[in-house]
Amino acid sequence: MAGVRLPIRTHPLQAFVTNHYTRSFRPIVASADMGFYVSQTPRGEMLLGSGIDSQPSYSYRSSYEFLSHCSLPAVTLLPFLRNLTILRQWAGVCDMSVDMSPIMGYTGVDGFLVTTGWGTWGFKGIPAGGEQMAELIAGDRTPELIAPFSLNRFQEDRLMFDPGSTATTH
Amino acid sequence: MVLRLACPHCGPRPVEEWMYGEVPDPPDYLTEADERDVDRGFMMSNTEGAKQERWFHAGGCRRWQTIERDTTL
Ligand SMILES: Cc1cc2nc3c(=O)[nH]c(=O)nc-3n(C[C@H](O)[C@H](O)[C@H](O)COP(=O)(O)OP(=O)(O)OC[C@H]3O[C@@H](n4cnc5c(N)ncnc54)[C@H](O)[C@@H]3O)c2cc1C
Ligand SMILES: [Zn+2]
Repeated sequence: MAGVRLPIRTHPLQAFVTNHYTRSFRPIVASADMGFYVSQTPRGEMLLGSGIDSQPSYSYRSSYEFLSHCSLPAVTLLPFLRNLTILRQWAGVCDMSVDMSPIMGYTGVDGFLVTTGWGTWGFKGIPAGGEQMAELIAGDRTPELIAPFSLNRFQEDRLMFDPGSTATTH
Repeated sequence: MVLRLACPHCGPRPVEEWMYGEVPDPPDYLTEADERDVDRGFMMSNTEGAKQERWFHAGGCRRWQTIERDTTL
């Protein structure tokens, strides 16, 4: 609507939880090679996930194919998981940027700023990102920490590889 | 249900068999050559709704196909 072009595509990301696992499982196990992660929720459910669905989409559909794709490496690495039952599965949509790193700051349209491209790792980075964006809006100057994340990095040919976000796994 | 794409050659096949190919579509209002290049290289319309797409049927006929798809379904 503002006529701002973004290097962003929207992809679904799925996850699922199992029934209660009676023992306590402390670590978060993630394997970039095997393409999955698992951790235990405070309620004792095992939470599993993997990478984004390959099709660009705004749909919240979840699929059996994702379950089997994610379960195979999971039970291979942690065989106890095969005794659990899958309770719930869901999908959300993630804004994936071309260089898998977030985009923050001015857009060229007066008074219109963006913070997007947080991808599949947005929870972790956004507390700092939000604080810095607030500083930018209130202070009229881009804080040093987020300056490299500006939208004009694509014009200036300085793509990022931000180790604090989705880029880590690509 | 997994998304199925209708291949003109193989029939409806699960999306896992396919590779998506982004087609650059710089808007007409970009007139400078540099601007258009940046747009072609990086920017995406990220259409919400029906659009024509290019998909490579890697797990089937191994041909590029043009497929119409609604990104909200
Ligand atoms: C299954 C799943 C698991 C995840 N796991 C993790 C994890 O373990 N760790 C982690 O760090 N991150 C994780 N993420 C990623 C994280 O959820 C995202 O990176 C984060 O939510 C991005 O925040 P955002 O505010 O940028 O965008 P979003 O949370 O997508 O928020 C965008 C908002 O804009 C609204 N909106 C859209 N269009 C309009 C419009 N036209 N007008 C008004 N409002 C609009 C939407 O309704 C939405 O509320 C996961 C995501 C999913 C789906
Ligand atoms: Zn085919």
